[in-house]
Amino acid sequence: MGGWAALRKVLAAALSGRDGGATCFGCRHFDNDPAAMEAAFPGLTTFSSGHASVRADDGLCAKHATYLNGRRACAEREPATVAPGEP
Amino acid sequence: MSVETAGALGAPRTAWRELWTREDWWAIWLGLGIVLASLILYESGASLRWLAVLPAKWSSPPQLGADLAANALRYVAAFAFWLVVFSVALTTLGFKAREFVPAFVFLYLAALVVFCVGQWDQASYYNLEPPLIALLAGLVVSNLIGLPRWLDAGFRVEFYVKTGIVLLGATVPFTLVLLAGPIAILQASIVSIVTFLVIYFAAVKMGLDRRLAATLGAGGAVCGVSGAIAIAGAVGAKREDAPIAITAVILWAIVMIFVLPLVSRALALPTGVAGAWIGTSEFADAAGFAAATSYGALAGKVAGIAGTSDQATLAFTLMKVVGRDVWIGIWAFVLAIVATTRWDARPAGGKPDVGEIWRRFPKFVIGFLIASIVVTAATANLSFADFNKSANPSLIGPIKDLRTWAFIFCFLSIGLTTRFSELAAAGRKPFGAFTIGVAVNVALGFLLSAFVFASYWANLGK
Repeated sequence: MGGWAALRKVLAAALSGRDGGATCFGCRHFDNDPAAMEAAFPGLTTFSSGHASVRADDGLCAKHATYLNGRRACAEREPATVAPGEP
Repeated sequence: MSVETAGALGAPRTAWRELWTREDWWAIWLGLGIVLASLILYESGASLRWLAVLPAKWSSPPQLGADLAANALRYVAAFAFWLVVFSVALTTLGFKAREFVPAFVFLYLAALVVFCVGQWDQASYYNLEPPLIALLAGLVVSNLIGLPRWLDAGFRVEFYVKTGIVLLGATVPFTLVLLAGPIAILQASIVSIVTFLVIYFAAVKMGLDRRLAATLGAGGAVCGVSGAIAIAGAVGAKREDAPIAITAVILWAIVMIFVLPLVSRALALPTGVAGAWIGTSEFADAAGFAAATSYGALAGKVAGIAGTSDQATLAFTLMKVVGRDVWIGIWAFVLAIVATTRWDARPAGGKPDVGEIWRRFPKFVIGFLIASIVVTAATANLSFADFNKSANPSLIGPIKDLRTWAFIFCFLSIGLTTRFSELAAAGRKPFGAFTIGVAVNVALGFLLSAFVFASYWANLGK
């Protein structure tokens, strides 16, 4: 039962694409645009691509000068705009 | 240029949205579409052969000219076909048609020239193998002449190679995947783990940051540039880490495209053995296919090289795609856990989730497997004689030739997008650590391919 619940949770996360919490998505410092990746990483398109599945939800964080998984939570997240439904 | 919106508007992709926003899925739709079309035509007594046109062998320019003239309409139709299907895919991905179309016209004409040179009856004598010609021509044009950067919209190495791999699946019996897969996974796992650990610890010993060390290690051990950027994202590497790894991978991958086939030829390795070695020791799918197909083409033409051209491609594919590429999600998941629990804390943290394994999975491999299953099932009740008489020329042959086009588009694009002057400086220490890993990888890959599993690879598919 525990295994089934864990499997359901993984499938739900994979299919919904949401982990909950304040992730990098929506932060004004985060950019996961494939074209931006290809411009930021010289040579990326020679043997890979900004549009490849392996990139998942990774993007660039301008604030911390890192390349990271956009699903991670960040205490320094700064929403650029107020999204619909948000206070 | 892209479908994802930048910065604050960026959002996670759902599994469903991936189906039309990732080139992996587009490679599947395109590859499987061709396979299904070929199957339907075959079952109805027709064939895709007319569209899958390639120049015939020639010995004099007039002979070549006559062949091209006789098939001019087919070449125009093939061009229109590729232009339409690639345009649909790439414009959906966010590329501009006004940039892609002229780039693809150039690419198609260049590919036709490469095919013509490769079909010259003296081409083997002068080592004019189409993959190597395409790569060298591309490198010369991009580095000595130069092309406008916007033309890169048509030079999509990864998209073309992924499409080619899905088409390749249709020519590989699924039983062979099941039989050879475990050996490929075993050999690839040994080499991948050893190579990663060597690069990682060499880099750490040299004083490099652990995240950069892991990024370099994945670039050398798993799947080249794709492996490097996947791990860079998973561990939260510094912005400059990925370009360093990309430079190291590109430089060594291009060296290996020429060195591995040359050494294999000097040692007269059977094509299956050389394919396995290339699959173990090349760093990128596109580079490895260039090396494997150029060596495979020597079978039957150069004395002492046993095996068939298909064996080189097959062994490479099993080793690289099945043995190494598919594990990138697991590498990323494990290293993300290590990074967040053992290494220094970063502002953006949180617990990695198992879903990352699927999200990073190279989906085009699914297309490769489906294509293999579909064609294997469709031809399962044919006798060997019937298969060679009907299925091979009418069903498999056209898919193979269309696959060859996709690979030549890819090989040309490698050269056309490799601008040495624009690559980031790798730095002495990162490049040194990576090079140590390359040396170990090449030696270990050779030992396993040419000795430990030699008879297995030499007899692959027989």
